[in-house]
Amino acid sequence: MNKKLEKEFVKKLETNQNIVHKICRIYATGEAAHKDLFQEITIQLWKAYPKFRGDAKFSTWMYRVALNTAITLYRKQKKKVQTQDWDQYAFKIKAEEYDDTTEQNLKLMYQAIKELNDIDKALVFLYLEDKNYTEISTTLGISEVNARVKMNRVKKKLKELLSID
Amino acid sequence: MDGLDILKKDWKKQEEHLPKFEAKEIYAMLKKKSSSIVKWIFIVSILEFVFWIGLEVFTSVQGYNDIIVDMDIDVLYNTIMIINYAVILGFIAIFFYNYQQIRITDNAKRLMKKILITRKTVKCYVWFNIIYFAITFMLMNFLVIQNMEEFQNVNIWIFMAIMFGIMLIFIGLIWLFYRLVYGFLTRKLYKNYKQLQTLDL
Repeated sequence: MNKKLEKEFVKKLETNQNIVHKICRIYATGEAAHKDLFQEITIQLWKAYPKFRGDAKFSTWMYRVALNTAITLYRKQKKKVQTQDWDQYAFKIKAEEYDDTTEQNLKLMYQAIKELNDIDKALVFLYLEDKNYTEISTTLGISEVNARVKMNRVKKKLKELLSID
Repeated sequence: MDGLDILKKDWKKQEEHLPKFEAKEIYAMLKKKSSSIVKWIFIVSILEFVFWIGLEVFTSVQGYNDIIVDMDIDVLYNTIMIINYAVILGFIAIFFYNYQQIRITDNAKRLMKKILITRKTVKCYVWFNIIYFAITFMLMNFLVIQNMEEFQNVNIWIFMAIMFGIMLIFIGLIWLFYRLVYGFLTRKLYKNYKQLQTLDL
């Protein structure tokens, strides 16, 4: 494909790659899985890029393609490489900012999110990204009311998971 | 403030700790092959079309045709064949149309639905083939036995029952094969689709 287009795409992705990394953080466990999902999302973004018209923001368009890849297209690799360190930095919280209980709670919260199913994870991700319910509902293809109901259920579920631990 | 909101605060802070890929690494990724299930469904579907059409060609090249001409049922046989090919072409056209409709930029629910519809086309195609094969197989057997001198002493119903048994085993094997291949490919997709669907009931 067009070299110029490729260059343009890589530059845009490089600048906006945080979005993809954050999705990988929620959906993948371990360094190998993280890279694998990142790569698949990159391929899908690139495949769809020629049709990207620029009428939407690049980052908004990325959310869709990246989330769709994580929920729909991606098949987890069987090989499981244990790389604890990689996930640890997800919980890297500066000690001076939080007391022990908060830090512990955050750790548990990340663990609880990993236990959720793919759709619930998507809801949590969009919520954390500060998306409003209109955006959440159009991204997933459900009504706004249902997005709200579902979100409340996920919050409750997370709360329960936390109180058990 | 509940747990998720505390996390939301932290979520924004984590950006500095996120890994970062260089442009060079991203270029390398573009060259890699996708492992997307849509790609696999496409490949498996094409193989299915090739397999069934191949089987068709193979059996018609075999001497079977001579017996049919001898027995004066070539009109029936040709009709069966013409219907078969027309339906196959129809299925292939629908399959490609559905495949073209898959857009990763759709919302998640619509995307999943379209993938599942594409998949369903091929599933229908396979079942059409199996059922059509079963009917014509039994019909042909019946006509052959009735018309051929060598079979006059054999009890026709016992023979048909044996043929029916063989056919069932054959269909069972195909069914098992499909469960394995597509169960493997679409289990996760189907589960997630159901999740979104039950939400809107």
